Amino acid sequence: MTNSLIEFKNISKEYIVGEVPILALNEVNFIIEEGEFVVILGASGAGKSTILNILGGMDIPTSGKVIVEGKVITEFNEKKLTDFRAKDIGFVFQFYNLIPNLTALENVEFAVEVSKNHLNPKETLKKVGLFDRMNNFPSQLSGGEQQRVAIARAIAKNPLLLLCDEPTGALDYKTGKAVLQLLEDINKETKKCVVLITHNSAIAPMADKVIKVKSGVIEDITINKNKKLIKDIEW
Amino acid sequence: MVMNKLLLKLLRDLKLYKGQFIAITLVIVVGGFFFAGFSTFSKNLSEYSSEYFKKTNLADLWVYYDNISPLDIQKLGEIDGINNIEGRYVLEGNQKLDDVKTTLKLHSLPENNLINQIVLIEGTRPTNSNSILFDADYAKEHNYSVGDEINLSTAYKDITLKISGFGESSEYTIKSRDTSDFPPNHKEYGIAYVSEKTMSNIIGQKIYNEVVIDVDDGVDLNVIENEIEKSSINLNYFYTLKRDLNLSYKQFTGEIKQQEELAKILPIIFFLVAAIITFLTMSRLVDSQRTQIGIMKALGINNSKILTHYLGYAVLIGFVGGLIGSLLGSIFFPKIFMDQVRAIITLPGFEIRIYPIFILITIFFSITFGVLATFLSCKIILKERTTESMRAKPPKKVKKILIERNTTFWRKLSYGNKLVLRNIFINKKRAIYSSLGVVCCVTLLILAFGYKGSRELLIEKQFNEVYNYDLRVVYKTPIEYLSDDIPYNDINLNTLAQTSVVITNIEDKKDSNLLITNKENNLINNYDKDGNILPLDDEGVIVATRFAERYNLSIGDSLQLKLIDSMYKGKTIEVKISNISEQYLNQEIFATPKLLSTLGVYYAPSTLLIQAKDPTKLDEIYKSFNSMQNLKEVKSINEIKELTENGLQNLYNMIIVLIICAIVLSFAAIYNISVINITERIRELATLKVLGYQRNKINKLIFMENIFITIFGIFIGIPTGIALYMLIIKKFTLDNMVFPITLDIGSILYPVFVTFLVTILCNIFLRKTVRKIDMIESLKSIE
Repeated sequence: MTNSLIEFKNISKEYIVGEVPILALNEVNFIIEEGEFVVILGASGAGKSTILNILGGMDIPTSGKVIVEGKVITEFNEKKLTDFRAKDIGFVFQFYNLIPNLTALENVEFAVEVSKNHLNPKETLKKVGLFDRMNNFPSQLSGGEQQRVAIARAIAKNPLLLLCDEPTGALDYKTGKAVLQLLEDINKETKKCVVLITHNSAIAPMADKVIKVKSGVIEDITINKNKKLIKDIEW
Repeated sequence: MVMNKLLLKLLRDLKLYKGQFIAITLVIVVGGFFFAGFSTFSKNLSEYSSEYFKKTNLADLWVYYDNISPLDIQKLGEIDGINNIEGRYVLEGNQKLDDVKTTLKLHSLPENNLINQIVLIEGTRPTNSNSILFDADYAKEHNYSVGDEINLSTAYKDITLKISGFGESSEYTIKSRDTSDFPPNHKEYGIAYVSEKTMSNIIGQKIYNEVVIDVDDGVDLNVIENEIEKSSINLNYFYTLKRDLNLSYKQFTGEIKQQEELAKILPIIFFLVAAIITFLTMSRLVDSQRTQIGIMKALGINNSKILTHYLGYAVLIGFVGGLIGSLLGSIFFPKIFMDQVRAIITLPGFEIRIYPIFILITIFFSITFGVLATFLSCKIILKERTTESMRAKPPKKVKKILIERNTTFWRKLSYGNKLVLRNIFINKKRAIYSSLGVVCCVTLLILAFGYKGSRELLIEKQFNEVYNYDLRVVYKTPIEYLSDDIPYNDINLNTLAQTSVVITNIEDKKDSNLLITNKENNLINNYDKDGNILPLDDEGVIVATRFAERYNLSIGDSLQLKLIDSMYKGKTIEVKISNISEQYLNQEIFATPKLLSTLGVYYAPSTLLIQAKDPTKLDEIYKSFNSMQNLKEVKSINEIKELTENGLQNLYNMIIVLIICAIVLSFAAIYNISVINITERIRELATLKVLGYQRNKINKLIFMENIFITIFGIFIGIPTGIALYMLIIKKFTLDNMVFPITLDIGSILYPVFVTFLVTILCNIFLRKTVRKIDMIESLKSIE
């Protein structure tokens, strides 16, 4: 087995809504290895977004530790946490979140500004198949194309892991599948760890590891011995 | 039920957008403060004065004689249209006090005084044969109290009198000696009254030299004046002055008119600025609630209810802001300015009144503007189909902007700056809206600083260029020969004669000072508008630009000057205008003795203008003159300068209020629009946070954008500011106060500097807004 890249240790998260405390995560433990393709599965409200927020360094847990490459990021201050997001995390959002007033290329270039050992933005766009359209603005691109730009933006930073939040959520079946294909290829080629958060259990078979979340606790962690290729999965 | 929930939403929204609502309310408060305050102040003055004049029965006509008997006055009173008539004897008296020589204008007061009634402040009227009543300002300057004995010297005799009381007359609201004595100097000049008996005792007989007349309502004063002239044919009649030409009345109404002129423009400008900012903010706010409106529509809430809901904000803010602003304005604005007005104008028993009408008008307009803005922006959204409005507005077609064609420059920019530039140029409308606050700020500040500059320049030009002398020595009688005790070796000296004239061939028969001095006199200078010295000549007179403009006169035109002096008995001379000069403080007519002698007129000089050859010896020279016997007064130029500066203090307060208001307005405007800009782009900014952009980098992006907008606003604001300054300064010009219209570079640079400071301050506040942006926003679906 390879080294563990990320470790969630006894993570609990409590939100105070009004005066009522709500436990979003309760003693969550899991490990993500280097190069793994992980799917975090759960219905809405199960706690998967909270995991994403904590894993992405956007939120801190009420108790517990998150260890990334041996560093305890839950002890980071805001500045260090921002650095962590800049260097180590490549985000892919459900709604792409491209900056509307920058072209595809500029969006990628703008994002890599904060990362030191980044990849060539043009090359990266070529890799996602958008070399021809790199001077277009987001509003001139289709949803699938915008998500590809977003993926290019994430991987160009050369992060530790890609963190994808329902990346196909706003896309139709065919385009969604193509985006998943791209993520699969990237995982295979670059050995970059991909964490994909979804409510769609149909895509679970493409993962090395499936973490099922329900009501704030881990229901099940499955290792797929025989993972399927995305092109063989239908839903 | 629906309405109740909507009300709840309104209250929660207010809490949510606390900063913005406070900012708009503040804008309205400032606008309302200025509007209600200025209107109240101006109305207070004009209402008080008309009541004051009515209550004390200010005369309509003043008729001057060398002497006239009580019997003749009785006869004059039979002229049709004359309601009341009173005779009095007026002469100048002097008091030589420890540190100063003062002049008192002494009047006889009839027992049954009906015209120009005295308002008693303390004590009683001077009914005893040895009592005198002083004006309260003079008394205060010299610490007199009722019962004190004073010595008075007159041309007839010196006497000792007892102070019976202090009072004021509506005839002397501004107690200045002549047009060149402005603002008034209460220490050196006062008004005094004695009984007719006391006056007879002083002058040795019971005669009068002035007649004051109160006419029936609706009578033509010109007709009466003609009648008086006819009836006086066998008397030593000089001339008649109508109320409008009475010096104090003229100066006073001038002051009020000046306030009224300003009250017409300035508050409206402020209110308009406040209205525009409210308008922009409310429409942007409603716009940002677009999807919520869509949802409400989808839920089946009808349009009028939604509209009422949003109008609720406007009404609430308009009411609260308008009420607070107009209350503060009505109470404090007149207070701020009244002290200064009192230094110039004597207004016994004046109390600031609050006029509810101005409060109502302010509230009405502030609500109306907000409601109008909200209504217009709601209407557009409500017209859309429900489904449409639930979706976000389609993204704007993004195009490359013009600067990008210059690729080398464009390539050198960081992505942050590229983003900033595109944000500005693609949303031009938004950028223009955003810059409006800056435009207003720069405009108002240029007005304020320009004003300040003009005021300083007026003083500077008048006292360093026009008046070149150090001392002005006025003799009691015309100077026949110069005495030996003048330190001739230490001074440059020149003489000056002055007399009053009425210019009879202009429409309102204005009176003016005629200054007579020789061509060589370089201690009072005339300048043309390019700053070149205009020498006097023996062919004609020099008049002031303001005077020439007002009466449409040019070089070569003739003036008919009626000499108001007992010596010449109303003789009229005709002179040509040989030059027109820039005069700032007084509007005087300059002539040479030679010119006058060709017209058969001679005035012996009574004033010496003195310049110290060695400025350090000035004190010594001053003292040597002050100890001489036959002098009326010795005035140093610095004293006059100081006095003038004090008189202009009111303007200074106005400038400070203007600057503060401009800063508050622009701060609120810039802050508000920026917050809306940030709220609109919250998703983008949250994404940047998630992507690992440090907070200061995001702050920098917003800061850069605001700086660009500020620069843009400054470019628009400079010309509008200059235009407003010119407009106001022209409106502000009075007969005895002509402000030079020149904007120095500082008057432009300071506003720019202050505007940048405001922008920077705003950005410091905006940091909090940026810090509060939740990264989770980036994960939410597009609303």
